[in-house]
Order: sequence, then structure tokens, then C-alpha cells
Amino acid sequence: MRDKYVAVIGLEVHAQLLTKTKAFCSCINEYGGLPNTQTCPVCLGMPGSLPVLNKMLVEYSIMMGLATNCKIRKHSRFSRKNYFYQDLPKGYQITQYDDPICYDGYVEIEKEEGLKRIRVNRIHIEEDTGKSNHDLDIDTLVDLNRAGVPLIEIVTEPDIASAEEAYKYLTQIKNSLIYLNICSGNMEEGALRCDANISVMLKGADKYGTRAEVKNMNSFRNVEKAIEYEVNRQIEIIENGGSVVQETRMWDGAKNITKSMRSKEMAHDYRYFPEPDLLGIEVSDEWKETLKSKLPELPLAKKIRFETHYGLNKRDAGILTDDISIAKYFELACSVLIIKNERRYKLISNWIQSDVMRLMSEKSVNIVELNLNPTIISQLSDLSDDGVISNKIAKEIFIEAISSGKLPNDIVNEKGLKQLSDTTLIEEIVVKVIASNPETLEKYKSGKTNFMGFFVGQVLKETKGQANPQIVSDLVKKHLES
Amino acid sequence: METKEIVRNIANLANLEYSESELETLVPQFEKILSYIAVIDNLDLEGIEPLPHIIDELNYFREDEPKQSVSQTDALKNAPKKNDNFFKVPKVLE
Repeated sequence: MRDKYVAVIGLEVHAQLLTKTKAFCSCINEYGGLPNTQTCPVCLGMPGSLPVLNKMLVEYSIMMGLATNCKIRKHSRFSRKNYFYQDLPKGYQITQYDDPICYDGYVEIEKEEGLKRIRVNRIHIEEDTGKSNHDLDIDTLVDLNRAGVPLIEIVTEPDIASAEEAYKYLTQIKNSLIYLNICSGNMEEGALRCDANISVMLKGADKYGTRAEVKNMNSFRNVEKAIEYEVNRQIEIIENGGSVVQETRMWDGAKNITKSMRSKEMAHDYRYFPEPDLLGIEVSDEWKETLKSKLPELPLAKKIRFETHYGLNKRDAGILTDDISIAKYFELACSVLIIKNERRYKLISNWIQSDVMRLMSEKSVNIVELNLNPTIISQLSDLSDDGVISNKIAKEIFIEAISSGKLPNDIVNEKGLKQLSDTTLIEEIVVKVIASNPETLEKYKSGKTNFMGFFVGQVLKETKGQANPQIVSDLVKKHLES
Repeated sequence: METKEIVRNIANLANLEYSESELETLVPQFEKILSYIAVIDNLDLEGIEPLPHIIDELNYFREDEPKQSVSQTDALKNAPKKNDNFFKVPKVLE
């Protein structure tokens, strides 16, 4: 029955920007401070105080607009959105209404059949509200540290057709914000928040169904789950002859359902009007071009380059570019390889995804904090691809390199750990081992060929595990048969 | 909309409550204000751009440099209800 329907989804993402100060005053913009210690007359909404716009906030917003292929509005302004709530000290939120700073853009997501464009309707600048706590006291407690923290709201067109597409879009947005270094992307701390407008309609219908707005999804997985749930709920209502009500619904993460927020259903009348306390913004072509020239390579472009330039598969390229510092680390390690080829790039990718990432999770640190010299895995990849050391020895050297700070090349030389690939030397040992075990040789010759393993083992023992096992096995076979 | 309804709606948006007798006083006052403003409705505004701000200047910015905030004590000083760290308001039910 689901096949008859298509989902029509639009997302609104709020991102807190990593400016040092708030949007309209010089209070510090930092998460986790003691309650009400990062406020001033402006963000407390004291009469007579005046907001002054943070230049960095405008630049960060333009950068995100450029990163999402938006047009940048030459002239934009601020408006007041009026409503009463205890976390909004002024009684209005400073936001942008009919002239958002960025508009008409798109973000591309990867699908099996190729890239799909999700159109971005607008990106506008606004200020965050304070934070209410309803659980600590019989009264509601209000902390205004967050009041006035800069936000951008990124609004899509209803181009998203499934929970999976929503997830991919969000990943692109989050990674772009992090690549630009303008937002922490931390959903648990509320630095990135997402609301979804969801409706369903019969395939081929020319009119969208009635939509519900779903809020309170504080992780990517919850966004996926909430969309799945809501789409199914709406289809079921229609299949049972009912009609979907236009309303705001809350995601209940404990019960995995969306539920109606009737308390907030009173008709909103925000009475937007131009903010008289702030002057307009003019973005010159020159300013725009300067910011454009500073944009880093963006996540999807980097992923595709990792596939084409390094020959990585989609999965590896995705994992490595999901975190910009890991992507940097990978490229740094590749750049110091003695011989650069796709096999060695793959080896470096393997090292990062296994031992390096395991160390990161064991120590609960990111790759920068891990402070691991990328030359270590680069040399290990060179050494094993040259056949100088076996995988087993490589793992041992890796551990030693971490604890001693020495480089693998030096460890190999000092300890004589080089894997023996010198066939003449190995052959001598093979001959010696066979000659000193005549009884076992007899057994082998009488047809008990499984005794070959015994000779291989003896040779490896003689060489203290440094002989290349494949070469040993070939040589043992050759001499036993002769 | 009837003037009385307009007054009621505006009072509601401003979180104000009026008794019926207070509304009786307010309605004629409101009508007076509205008719005064209604002069605008008779102006010919064809081809005139809205004026969002009386000052032409643009791009009045502040550099992104932190300055001292007020102390927690000062921040909470004017609050009718508070505890050591927070402003207190009657319980808001989500």
C-alpha cells in the first residue's frame, strides 16, 4: 500500500555559528557556561540598549550560502518576529523575513542512480533564544546565556522523498558547516537542530497533501525514524478514509512516535516588521568574491576526488571524508609515501580505519588529539607493500612506534626485523632443515605429504619468523619433491 | 473586523486582559486612533518604494571581539523571581 504514495518532505535546519561573540552584542558565544553569566543589557533585552551586528556572522552566513550554491542578496535587512515566551527577553526575535541574505541554492546528495539536487529555498540570519528548564524546580528556570547566539536557518524546498534522503541531506549540511569551520555540528548540544515538514500524496498527484511539522528530533537517527513514522502515520490515516490535520507534532524519542503539540496550536500572528534598531546589509561583489576564494573543498567534492584520485571505493572515501581532519590526515600520510600508487593508498586507508580509529575510540579522542605522526602509517604501508615486513610484524612495529615515538624504518633497521625475501639465504636454511630431519623426510616421501607443514614451521623458526612464508613454502616444496 | 474584536485581539497578542467595561472605554479611543491613521489609506502611493529605515547608511558592523559580560548577580538583579543561578517563571508546560 505504501507504494501508491510518495512522501514530500522539506527540512528546516538551525545552525549555531561559531563566532566568538553573540549576534548583536559582545558577550562571549560559548556552550556550557554557568547559567546567566554570559549576558549584557542587549541580550537581556534591557530598555535603551541597542544591538550592533557582528560582521563575522554575516561572513559565515554568506560562506554557507556559497557552499550551498545560493545567490547572495545584495541588500538585506532584519525584521522583528513578535511573540511572548519566557526565553525571549525582548518579546521579539531579531530575524530576517522577506529578504534573507541567501536564496535559491541547492545541495547535492548521492543516490544509486547518481546525484540528486535538493533545492535550498533560503538561508537567513537570526538570534537564538534562551534556554528553559522545566525539571529542576517547581518553577520553570531560565538561562539567558544562549539568548542572542547567532543562528542561520537553512530551509529546503519540498524536494526530499524519503527518510534516507533526509539523512543524506543532513549529513551534507553538517559536514559542509564543519568543513567551513562555522558550526560545531553537535546535535546533542543543540548546535544543529532540525524540523521537518512532512506530507504524503498519491503517486502522480498534482497537489501536495496536508503537511505536519515535526520538531524535537535531536539526532540524525531520530530525524530518520521520525520521518519514517510520520509518513506511515499519514498514509494510514488516508487509507482509512481520514484526512491529515495541519499541525505541529513532537518526536517522542522514548516511544518512537510523533505526537500532537496542541498547546502550541493557537493561531500565530508574529506581526513581522522591519527592525528599526539595525541598518541594512549590503554585500558587494568584491566582498562575495573574497569570501568565495576562501572556501575550502566541500565534502561531496572531496569524496569524489578521493574516489578518482586515490582509487578508493565509495565506502572508504565516505568514511575518510566524513571527518575533515581524518581526510587531511589521510592525504598527509599519502603525500609522504616513497612510492605512490593506489595499492598503497588503500593500505593507508586500511590503517586509518582499523588501528588508528580503534586507538581514537579507546582514548576517546579525535585524530588531531591523538597526535599520531602520519609518517608512521605511511612508512608501514611502504614497508609491507615492498615485502620487507609481514602484516604481523607491521602491527607490532605500529605499537612500538606509538610507545617509543620512533619511525617504522628505524625500528626495522635497529631490530633487524626485515622480512627475509632473499631466496638464496632461505634456500640454505631449507636444505639444512631437510638434511637434519631424515626420518620426517622418509615419512613425507612415503606419501604423508602433510609433513610439509613441519618443514615450513622449522624454517620459519630458524629465521625467527622473518622469512616470507610464501617463499619458504615454495622452496620447501621444491626441495622435498626433488 | 468590528473595533471591539480588534481591541480584543490586540490585547490578547499583548498578553493583556480587559473587562467588558474597560473594553467599552477603549473601543472609542481606538476608533479615534484608527481614523487618524486612516489618512494614509487615502494617499496615492503608486510607484513609491517602502522606506524600511530612515537612515541610508549600510553595513554598520562590530568586530567579533568578546567584551566583559555583566555579572550573574547583576543579570538577575531586576528579576521578580530567581534563585542563585536562574530566572524563575511560573511553570511553563510544554
